[in-house]
Amino acid sequence: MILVLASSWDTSASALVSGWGARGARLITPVDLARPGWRWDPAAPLAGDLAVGSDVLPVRSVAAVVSFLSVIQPSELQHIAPDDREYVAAEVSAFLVGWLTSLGERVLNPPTPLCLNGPHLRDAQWRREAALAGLPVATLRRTESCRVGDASGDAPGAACATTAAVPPPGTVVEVAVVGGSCVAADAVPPVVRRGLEDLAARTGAGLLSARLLPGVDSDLWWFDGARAGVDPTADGVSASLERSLGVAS
Amino acid sequence: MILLWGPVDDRPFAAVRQALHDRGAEVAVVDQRRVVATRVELRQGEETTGVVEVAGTVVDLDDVRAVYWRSRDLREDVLAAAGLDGGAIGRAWAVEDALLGWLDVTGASVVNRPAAMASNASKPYQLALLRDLGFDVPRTLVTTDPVAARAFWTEHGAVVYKSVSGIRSVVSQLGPAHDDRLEAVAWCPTQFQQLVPGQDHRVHVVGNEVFATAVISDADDYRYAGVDGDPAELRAVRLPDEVASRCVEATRALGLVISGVDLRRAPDGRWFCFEVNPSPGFTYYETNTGQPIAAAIASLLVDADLSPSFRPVRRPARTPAQ
Repeated sequence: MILVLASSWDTSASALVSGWGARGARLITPVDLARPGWRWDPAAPLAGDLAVGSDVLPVRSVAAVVSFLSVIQPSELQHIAPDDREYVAAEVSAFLVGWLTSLGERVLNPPTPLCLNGPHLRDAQWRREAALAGLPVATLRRTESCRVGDASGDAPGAACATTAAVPPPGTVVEVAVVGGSCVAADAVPPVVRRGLEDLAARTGAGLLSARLLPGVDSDLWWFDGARAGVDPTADGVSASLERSLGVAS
Repeated sequence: MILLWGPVDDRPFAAVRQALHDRGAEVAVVDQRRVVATRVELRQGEETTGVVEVAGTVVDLDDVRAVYWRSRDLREDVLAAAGLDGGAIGRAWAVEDALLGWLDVTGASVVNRPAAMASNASKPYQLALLRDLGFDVPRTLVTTDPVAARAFWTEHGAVVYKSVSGIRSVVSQLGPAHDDRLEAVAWCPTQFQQLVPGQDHRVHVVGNEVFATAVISDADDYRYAGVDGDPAELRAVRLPDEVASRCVEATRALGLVISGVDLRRAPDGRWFCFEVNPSPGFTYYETNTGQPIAAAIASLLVDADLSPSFRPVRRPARTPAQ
């Protein structure tokens, strides 16, 4: 069985599972994590059970897992009392981090303690890691402020301001890396593709989306940020996921 | 320069600040409670450089060689700043996020780097790491199945339950009153652990130094012993060398510089580890035992500030500014 972990509202993930349904894929959403049937002994993770839909299944039946979910939103847990949703969401997230990690290589994109679908890196970290992977890195000027006005002290009523310079629209290329390989990136210079694959490896990102600024007249492409996860509807991603997860054709 | 970032009325923060003052160290303080008066300007590229300003006082982050920070939930302070618009909390988080990002990439010595502190967000995840590092850990079950919870209880006889996440919870032992309430685990994964008898120890690791405290208490969770009865008694003790070394190694392996390690010595002599706290509230132990923990942290920071091996930030030479 292939498990696809995604938000209940993620229509592209559910479409993916529908397409793979006959080949043993099941969609698992936050609601499934807060329903009866889960049983996990961290010392013997494969001996446990999981709840998906109305079924309780042995963990041993899981061949592969992919997560399109970075966090559990309390608002997804509509069957939980409103006052308890924030707590339950935090508990479910913490449980999933441990559970997914215990499944080892079955998980295409292993979680980290603060992110259910890969590394939880801030922009500054992505840029540093990209530089270490040999990619030329664009510089982001970032100003964050909760006070605008004179500098004499806290100013009640002052507006908060966030400014982050954003590249002009149309100049950014997004490249997906699935299971260590760039997807549908023929237009990207090989040296940049290798850099992105190195970035995915060094950050432990099984699924990675990187933003690039193409050079105007050269092979010098600039790295301009990344995130864990991919858009399953992007060119070639679905087929690449099938290969990485071993979805039988 | 040493940067202190956190709420100035936080006890560990204040203790480290005082210890640095006693050492005559050059310190810049960014009070987290003044987040609405804080501005962060960064250039994020191969390296991250910039400044943080609080009410007119500017700190050049390139001059910072050591950092001690503590964090608390901002929402109360931001909401208390009357008149801020509805997006204020989000923008306050963005200020914090910018500083946290810098903490993870700066060449300065950081106590502790945010990325390294994350393992504590999932207790069973961290427990697995601690088991791999050679500690004994209690048998654990996380479940939404009341039948499985009862079977685990029957198997181990004495069982406690606690939160799975980093949310602080009171550790409680299952008793007859819980029998009916076990049905409620169906709606939230709940962590049960075998009750390990023995004596609690809190071990503070500061670099290579180890400060161990034995806790004398009959409570299931000694942190709350004073609420229901006699408060816990704390005594400074010396750990067996092997256990002390393991605490230092575990702290390092988790990427931490300081930590608070929760151990229990079982009657058979085994040392069980329950948790490693990456931002320990050490003052409770320091006050009761006289252990110089704040001074040790201050020494770490001063040594880093004076270290000739400090790697200065290299300003990017050729990057297109966005």
